[in-house]
Amino acid sequence: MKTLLSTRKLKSAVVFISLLAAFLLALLLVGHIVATVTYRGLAVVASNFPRIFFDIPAVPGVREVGGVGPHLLGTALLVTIAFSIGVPISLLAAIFTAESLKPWERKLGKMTRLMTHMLIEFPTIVVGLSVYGIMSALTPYMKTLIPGFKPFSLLSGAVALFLVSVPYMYAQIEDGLKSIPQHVREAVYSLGAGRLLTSYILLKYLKSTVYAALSIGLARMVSETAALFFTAFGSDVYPLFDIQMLFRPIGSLTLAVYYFGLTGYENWVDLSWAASFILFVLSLVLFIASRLLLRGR
Amino acid sequence: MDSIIYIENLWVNISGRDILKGVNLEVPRNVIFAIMGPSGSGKSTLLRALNRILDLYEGLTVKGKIIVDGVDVYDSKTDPSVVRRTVGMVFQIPNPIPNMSIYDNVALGPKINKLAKSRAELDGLVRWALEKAYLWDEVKDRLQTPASKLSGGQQQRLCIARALAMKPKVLLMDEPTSNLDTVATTKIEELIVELKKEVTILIVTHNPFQASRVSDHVAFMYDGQIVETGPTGQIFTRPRNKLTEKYITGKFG
Amino acid sequence: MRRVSKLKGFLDVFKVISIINLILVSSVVLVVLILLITSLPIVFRDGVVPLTRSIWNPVSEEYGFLFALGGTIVTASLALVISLALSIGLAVIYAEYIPEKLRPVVKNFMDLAASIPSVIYGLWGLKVLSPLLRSYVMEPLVLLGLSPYFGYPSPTGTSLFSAAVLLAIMVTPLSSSIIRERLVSIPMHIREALYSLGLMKTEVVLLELKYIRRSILTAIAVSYSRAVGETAAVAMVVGNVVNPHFFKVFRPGYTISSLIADQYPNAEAYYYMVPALFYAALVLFFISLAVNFLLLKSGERT
Repeated sequence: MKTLLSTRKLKSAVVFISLLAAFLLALLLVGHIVATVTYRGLAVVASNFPRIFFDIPAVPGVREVGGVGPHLLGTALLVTIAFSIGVPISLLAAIFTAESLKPWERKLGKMTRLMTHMLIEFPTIVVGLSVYGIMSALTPYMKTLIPGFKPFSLLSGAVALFLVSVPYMYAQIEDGLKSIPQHVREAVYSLGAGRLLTSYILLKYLKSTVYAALSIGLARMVSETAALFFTAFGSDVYPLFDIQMLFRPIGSLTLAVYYFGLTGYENWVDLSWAASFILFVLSLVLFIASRLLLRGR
Repeated sequence: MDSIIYIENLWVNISGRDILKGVNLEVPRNVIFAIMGPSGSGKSTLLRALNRILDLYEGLTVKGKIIVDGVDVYDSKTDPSVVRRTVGMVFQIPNPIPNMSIYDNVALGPKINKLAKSRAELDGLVRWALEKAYLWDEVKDRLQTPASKLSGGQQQRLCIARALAMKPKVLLMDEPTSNLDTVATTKIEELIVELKKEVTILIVTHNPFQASRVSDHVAFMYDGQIVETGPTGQIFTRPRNKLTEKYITGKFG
Repeated sequence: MRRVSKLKGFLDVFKVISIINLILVSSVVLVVLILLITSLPIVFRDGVVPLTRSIWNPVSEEYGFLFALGGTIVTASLALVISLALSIGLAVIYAEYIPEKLRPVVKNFMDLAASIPSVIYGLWGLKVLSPLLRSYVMEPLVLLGLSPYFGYPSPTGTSLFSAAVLLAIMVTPLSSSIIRERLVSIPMHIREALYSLGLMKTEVVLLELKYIRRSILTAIAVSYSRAVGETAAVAMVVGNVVNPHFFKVFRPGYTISSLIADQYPNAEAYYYMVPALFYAALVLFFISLAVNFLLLKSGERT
C-alpha cells in the first residue's frame, strides 16, 4: 500500500513537472519573439528616425539601412482599397444572410455562409495563386482596355487581401446578427421597419461587435504575406501617382520583412527587423482595439 | 357591427406542421379582445399572423384571408411594413433595445415611420406615449439612460409606450405579463383597460382569470382552432362548449 | 399605398444585395476552378505521377513534388506533436494551477501571440530559432551518432526540423486556447466527483483531459490545418532545397507552400512549371479540405 502511494506520488510529480515545463517553455518562446522584435527593430527604427518611414531601402552591403517608405505606402494603399470594398460587401452580405426570408434568399444565404467558411480554410498562398491565375487569364482582354494591365499589381494584391479577410468580417457580423434574440428582432420589425432599416438598427445595437469584426479583418489584411507574393509582388520604390499605379507591382511591409530578411546583407536584415517592429506595433494596436471593443459585450 | 379585424379560414403551416387549422374571427373596434387557450394552441401564431411577423419564420405557408383596418394583409401587393404600422405589438419578454436610451426606444417607431416633422413634435409624441403607458413620472428625469436600467415591469410599459408612439389602430399583446410579478401585472392590466380608448387591443393569455379581468370579448383556442367566442360575461358564465368550460374552471389538461 | 407597393416591386433592395452574395459565392467557386483549369496541362501529361516522385527539373520540364508533399506532412505532423505538448501544458497550468488573478495576463499574452503576423515568426525563426536549434539540439544529436536518422544540419540551421518547431510555436496560442476554454468550462460537479474518489490533483487533471478529448481533437485538426497551409514563416526557415529524403528532418527541404512561394518568380519561363505549381496548390487545397472535413465531423458529434 505504501509503495503504491509513493509510485502514485512520483508519477504525479513527473506529470506536473512536464506540464509546468511546457507552460514555461511556451511563454518563454513567445516572450522571446516579442522581446527580440522590439529590441532589434526598435534599435533600427530609433537610430533612423524618422527617415525609416519615408526613405527607400539603401543599396545592399552598406552601413545605412535607408527606409521602408514605399512598403508602408504600399500596405496603406493595398489595405485602403481592400478594406473600403470589403467592409460594405461584408456588411451587406451578412445582412442578406441574416435577414433572408424567401426560400431562394435563405438558400443563397446558407450557400454564402458555406462558401466563405470554406474560403477561410484555404491556405492564403492558394488564394494568392488563384488571384494571379484569374488576373493572368484576364490580362489579354484587359490589355485592350488598359494598356498597362499586368497580373502583378496593386489591384491584384487588393483583390487577394479582400478574399483573405472578407470571410472573417462577414462571418463575425453575421454571427452577431444571428445572436440577437428573436424577440428583439421581432420588436423592430413590428414597428414597421423594412429589412434594411431593421438591419441598420440591429447593427447599431451591435456596434462594438461590428467594429471588433472590422478591426480583426483589418489586422488580417495588414499581416498577410503569402497571398501577396504573386499579386502585389513587391517593389522597393515609390509608385508614380497616376491611375496606372493600380496595374503595377507594389511593396508591402510584410513582403519587406520577407525579402530583406532572407538576404545575407546586414543592413537589409536590419531593415527587415525594423519593418517587423512597425508591423508588430500595427497589429498590436489593432489587437488592443478589438479587445477593448469586445470587452463591453 | 363595425369590425376592425376579419379573419377568414386562416391556415398556417410552418415547416410541414399545421399550426392554425381554419381560424375564423371578427374583432370589433375599440374593445379588448382576449384570446385564451393552453400553450401550443396557436394563440401566438395567430397574433403574429396579423402583422406578418410570421414572415420571419422559415418554411411558412399561409392560406386564407386577414383584413385589418381595410387592408388585405396577405395580398401579394401589400407591403408588410405598411401593415405593421397600423398594428403595434407587445411581446411576452419585455424587449426594449437594451443599449438604446428610454427616449430613443419610444422614438424608434415614429422615426421609422416619419411621424414627427420636428424635434419638438417627436418630444411631444414620446411624452404622450410614456404618459399613456403610466411611465412618464417614473422616467421623465432620466430619458437618456439605457432602457436596460429599468425594472422588468417598467421595461414592459416602455414597450407598450414604444408601440403606442406609432399611433397604431390595433395593439397586439402576446402574454404581456407572463414574465412579470403580481404588482407589475396589476399595473399593466389597469393600463390595458385604460388604453381601450385609444386602440383596439388583442391580448393573448394562457391565464383565463386575466382574460376575465380585462377583456370585453373572449375567444377560446384549442389545437389551432377557435372553439368558442363571445362577450366575456357570457363565456365565463354560460360557456356552450365543454372544452371551454373545462378550461375556464381550471380543470384542463 | 398602391404606389408604395409598386415602387417596392421595382426596388427590392434585397434582390440588389443578393448580387453581392452571388459574387462572393461565385468568387470562391472561381478560386477553385482556376486551380483546376490551370493545372490541367500537367494533369493531362503526367496524371498522378508528379505526386509520386521527387524531381524538379525545369530545363527538361520534369516535375514531381513528392519531396514537397512529404515535407509538408512531416513538418506539420512533427509540429502537431510539439504544439500539442506545449498547448496541453499551457492550458492545464492556466486552468488548474495559476491564481485566478494571473489568468487574464496569460490569456491576453497568448492571444496577442496569435495575432502576431506570421512573417515576424519567420524572421525570428530564421535569425534566432534555427541557429539555436542547430547548436543545442541538432548538433548534439548528430554527435550522439543519430545523423543516419536525421541527416546533417545546414550551417544556418534552416531545416524541416526548424520549420516544424517554428510551426509548433505558431499554432500553440490558438490550439491551447481551444483546450483552455474547454478545461475552464468543465462543470464543478464533475470536478468534485473526481476529487471525491481520493485522487491527487494531477490524476484529476489527466482524467479531465480524457473527458475533454473532443476539444483536444478539434485543437489537433485546427493546428494541422494551419500548419499545412502556413507559407511565409515556413519558407523563411525550411531551407528551400529539393530534398527527396524528407524524413531526415535536420536537412533543409521544401513544403508545398514554400515550393510555390520560392519557385513562382521564375515559373513563367517554362511551359509546364505554372501548371505544376497550380497542381501542387490543388493538392494543398485538398489536404486542408480533408482536414477541415474531419474537423467538421468531430465538431458535429460533440
